[in-house]
Amino acid sequence: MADRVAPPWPVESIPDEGLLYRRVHQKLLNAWSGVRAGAFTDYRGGMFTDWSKYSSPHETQLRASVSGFVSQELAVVALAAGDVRSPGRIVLHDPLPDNRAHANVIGEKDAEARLKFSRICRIVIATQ
Amino acid sequence: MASNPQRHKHISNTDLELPNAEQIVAAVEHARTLLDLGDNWDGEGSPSYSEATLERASDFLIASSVGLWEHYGRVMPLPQIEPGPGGSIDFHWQVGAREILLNLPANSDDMLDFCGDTASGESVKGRAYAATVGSWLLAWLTE
Repeated sequence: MADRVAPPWPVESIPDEGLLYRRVHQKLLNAWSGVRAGAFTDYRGGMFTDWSKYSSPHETQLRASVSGFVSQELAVVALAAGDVRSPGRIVLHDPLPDNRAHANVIGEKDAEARLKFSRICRIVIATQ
Repeated sequence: MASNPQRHKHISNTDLELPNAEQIVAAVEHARTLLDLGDNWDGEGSPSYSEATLERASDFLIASSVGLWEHYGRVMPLPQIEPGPGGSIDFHWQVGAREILLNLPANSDDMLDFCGDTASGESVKGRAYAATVGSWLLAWLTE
């Protein structure tokens, strides 16, 4: 889970039709512009995404520059929150002080889940 | 990357001549590019890939291929060998209407995690130790 430093934003409920944007390193794209299952993993207890209500795909891509990444090396994919939810898997809005859009996908990311995500995601920004 | 003679030796030392042994060797050698990824290569804390994990991935692939050939008389389709979570390795096969994702963990004590399905709705899923699952899973894939 992301560090807790009193975000100034309220936690909201993300509707099923809400889109979740996720950055994907170019090494996690395959030769035919598909997204590898390895793109869908947990970090600090959840899979980090940005809710489309408060972020554009471009903003999601640019946030990586804070950690020293070149944004052109990163694609952005979109998943519908309702498609991600399942028994044992939840989507939680988790706003951070510097990112109101931040949301976590909580639940096991076994092979079945990761393969599913790789199938249902849509690339909204390709790498250059 | 230069070819690794040990890998060729490993395959040719089996009693079986695999029809696609050279392609398997090439796939394993190509997978060694994963070793170029350092710690936090994805910006989300993913660790680097280790020689030991690549070695186990290679052993698994060769043993499964040999088993498939020996017990079923079938040639293993080549998988995509991809970066998995936490220093693990993903094998991804798409063969006709059948698809399998199999994860080989970074920790050698952990079990493989796999799932697969077909266009007609058949599915397989589970966890198992590497020695017990490779051949029959590939038999299902190549059914």
